[in-house]
Amino acid sequence: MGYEYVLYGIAILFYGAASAALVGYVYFKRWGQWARVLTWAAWSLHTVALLLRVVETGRPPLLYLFETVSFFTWLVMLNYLVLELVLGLQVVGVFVVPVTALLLLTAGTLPRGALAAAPWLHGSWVMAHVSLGVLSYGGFALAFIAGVMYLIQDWQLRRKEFRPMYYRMPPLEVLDSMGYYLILFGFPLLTLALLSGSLGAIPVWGGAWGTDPKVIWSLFTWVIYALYLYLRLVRGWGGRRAAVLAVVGFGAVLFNFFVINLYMTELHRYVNL
Amino acid sequence: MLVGDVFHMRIIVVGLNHRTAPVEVRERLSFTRDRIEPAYEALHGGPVRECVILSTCNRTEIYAVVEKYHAGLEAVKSFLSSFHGVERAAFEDHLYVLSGSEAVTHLGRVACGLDAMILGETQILGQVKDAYMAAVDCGAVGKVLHNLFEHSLRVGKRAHSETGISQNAVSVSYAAVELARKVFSSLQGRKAMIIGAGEMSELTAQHLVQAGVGEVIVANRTWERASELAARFDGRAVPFSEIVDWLSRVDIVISSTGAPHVIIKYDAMREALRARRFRPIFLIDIAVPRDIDPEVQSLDGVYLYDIDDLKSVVAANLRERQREAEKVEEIIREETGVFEAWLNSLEVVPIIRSLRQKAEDIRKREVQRAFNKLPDLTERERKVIEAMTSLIVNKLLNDPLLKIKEFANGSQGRLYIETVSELFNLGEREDESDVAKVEGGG
Repeated sequence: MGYEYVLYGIAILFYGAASAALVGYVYFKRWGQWARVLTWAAWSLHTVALLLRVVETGRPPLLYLFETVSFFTWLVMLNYLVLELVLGLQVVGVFVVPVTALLLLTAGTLPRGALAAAPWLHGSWVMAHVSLGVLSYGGFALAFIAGVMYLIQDWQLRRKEFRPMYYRMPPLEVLDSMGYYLILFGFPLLTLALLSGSLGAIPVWGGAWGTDPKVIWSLFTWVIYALYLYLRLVRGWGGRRAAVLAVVGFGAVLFNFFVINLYMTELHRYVNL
Repeated sequence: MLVGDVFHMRIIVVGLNHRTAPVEVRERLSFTRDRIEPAYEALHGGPVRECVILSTCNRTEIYAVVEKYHAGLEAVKSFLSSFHGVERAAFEDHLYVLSGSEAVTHLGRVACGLDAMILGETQILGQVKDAYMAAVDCGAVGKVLHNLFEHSLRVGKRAHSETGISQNAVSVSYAAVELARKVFSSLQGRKAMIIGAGEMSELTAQHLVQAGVGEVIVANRTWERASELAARFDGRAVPFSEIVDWLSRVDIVISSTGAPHVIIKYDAMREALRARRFRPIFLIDIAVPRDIDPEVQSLDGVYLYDIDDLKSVVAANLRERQREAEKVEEIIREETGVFEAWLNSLEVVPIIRSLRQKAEDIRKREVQRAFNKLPDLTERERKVIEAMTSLIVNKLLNDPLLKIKEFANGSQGRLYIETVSELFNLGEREDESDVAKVEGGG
């Protein structure tokens, strides 16, 4: 597995370099082209590393925490790269790429516990459950970033502080609808993830899963996004409030992913390497 | 002599601009469109082989290709003096004179707006083009300036398309439109309300309509003025008392009344926002004293800018352009290199030709002399001698000629060309018809 570490190491270095170039891009537009090259290089290495894992194990890379983080960040990056190609919103990368680099780095250095290869983890229900969950998180992550960007730009427009970042940002309305569509995409996936999880869990765990902290917290997350859509569609919310809610929602997702998975749940604990 | 002139052909620029000369001087040396033909008639010819006069309100510059630097410079200066009837002492101190690659770089900077009063302004590029066209019409442009101006137009276009030098508004009224663009994803079909029909609000409304704003609503104390302005934008006039009702229906408000008190109050704005379900509203308050209660800024979805805010946007935009200037300088350097390589190649052709010619002349003369001394040579012997001498000449010249071509494209190209020309004393051999060919379009 040594080569995999090397690949990830280089990919993280490239993500780091791309982050630096993107920060440079905020100040000097022409750095954007370097940032683009570095980002694609990092993501390509990332893709190769993931593919190798899939080929080797013959299953989706969602069994270990590191795999899941890797797959999740890969997905977010894919979304971002498409967004950049289609809408030219390279500025989104200023937020996405450094977060990707940090997440990969964090996940790569997390404490390692005992190996607990549970046979039920390989069931198709579980794989569907986990894949859907990660896909929905991918949408929420970008919605979160759109929300943060909205709040920053809103702040700049109100404070009348025209820093270099101001010039790179898309219009507020674009950020607003970007967040909306991403949550609209993520919410049904999260719903299906929760449903498939429940259905798959009944034969394995019986009724005990209902009190698992992860299950409770996931429901809480679901409620936040449901509220977001309700307020938006029925109450006509948008703008700053919606952005705050998108940020809060993803905060809940992150808490679920890193805190609850690692320290609080028994049933949903990741297999450690 | 003539070939030597080709080698010493120089591009110079003589001029003054808003930085070097006050308007009293600039206006006396400016060229109006209707007097441009006599100007070219007076300037073109003699030591001035080619010329272009660039005259705008901020600058008067004469680009010229001259045979001899000092003679050319004198000719241009005395032309300026005699044509405008201004004593040389009155403007000479304000003039700048650049030559060679400095002149080429200068024109590039002018074309990009780097040398302009407002950094990155785009109007100057059109003026450079017009000046060039006018010079072409007057027959004052030859091969060198033709290429130089094509080069500068290319530089200008690249600067505007590849960098942000001309992006971000540097006028208050346009800055308002750009701010609106940072809020709304598109201005297409938006509604704008103008309160108080002043000159500034009219200008801003005009920019907004150009940017796609669909409907303009005008509210003014005097109804006639309101309907007059509304008619201009195909909009509608509304009574002053209905302003508050319209707040929930428009996206952009520009206010510039002379009212001594606030017209849009906090409570009214809050009501309006509720009615518009917090869709953002963009407010420009150019009035002093202000028309809109500054407190409304704390409301969700309100973006309010007063005249000072707009001025600070303009200042920030200029700083942003300043950042881009460096990239433009890079483009200029790159394109100047391309142009100079072309210029050098233009000079290297006659050099090579005259070097060959000289060697061949010497060879023929000496061979003939030898044949005269040896009248008994057979035809075959003569042929061998001819071939051998040709071979010596060609082999001897082969390396230098290759190197000249190579060096001509380097940064020291001109120096090498001049050195070779001096070394082989090439300035005196070629006949007139050859030079005419080299200069082609002149």
